[in-house]
Amino acid sequence: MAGTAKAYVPAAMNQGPGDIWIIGTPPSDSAQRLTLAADGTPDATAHPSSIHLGATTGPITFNLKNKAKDIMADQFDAPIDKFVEAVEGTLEAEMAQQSVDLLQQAFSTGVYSTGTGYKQLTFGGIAQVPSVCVAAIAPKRMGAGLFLVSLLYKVATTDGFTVTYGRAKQSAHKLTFHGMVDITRTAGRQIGVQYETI
Amino acid sequence: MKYKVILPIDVDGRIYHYGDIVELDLDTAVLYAHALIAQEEEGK
Repeated sequence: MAGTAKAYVPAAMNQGPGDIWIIGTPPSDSAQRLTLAADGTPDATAHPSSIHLGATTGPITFNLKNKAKDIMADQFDAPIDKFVEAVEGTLEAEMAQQSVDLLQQAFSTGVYSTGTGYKQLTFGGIAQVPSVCVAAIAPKRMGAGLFLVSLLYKVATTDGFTVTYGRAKQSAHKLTFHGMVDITRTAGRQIGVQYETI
Repeated sequence: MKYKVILPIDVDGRIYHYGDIVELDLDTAVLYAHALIAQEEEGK
């Protein structure tokens, strides 16, 4: 009898840093994926006004969870099916750069203003939470010009930020983007996409 | 040039909220670039 081929693929084993981007103009429902420049950054024509969120102190983490509920029947001692109760997609990292404009990405109900000699974020009194499109883009370990992308079409940040002042530890703040459903998109691709270029 | 506000901004004492479409000169828009998305002009 013939055996079955194993699937050891070193090129599919990923490691290496990435970058977080606010995507100025999200990909359309039909396009779904970003148009990337040769260096792996969002194409300035297809995605104008995209913003790089700067350096991170550690890895960028994309979490995608399916919260599925068991469907039970009293006649059987194990679930007979599952139903998806919720899908949770988050993109998070600890951000090393704390300029006020970047802090606003973590506290999006703050109001940014600038003038001669200052940049500031005032807060209090705004209840509407802004939403944007966000992506993590990282070069693939093997293969120049190829990239891994985690993309959430509509996210909000509600966690705020921490600024510390001290000699022993660098100030940094955790940034978490929570994926929401974009109801204008087709079911099956309403929250985001995880993809690689090949 | 018109821009969509994606994060609240205060320009010369007036607060613009998420979703507002605001017309700004280029010098001002550059100062608030992280909070704005340029809108395509009609006819383009």
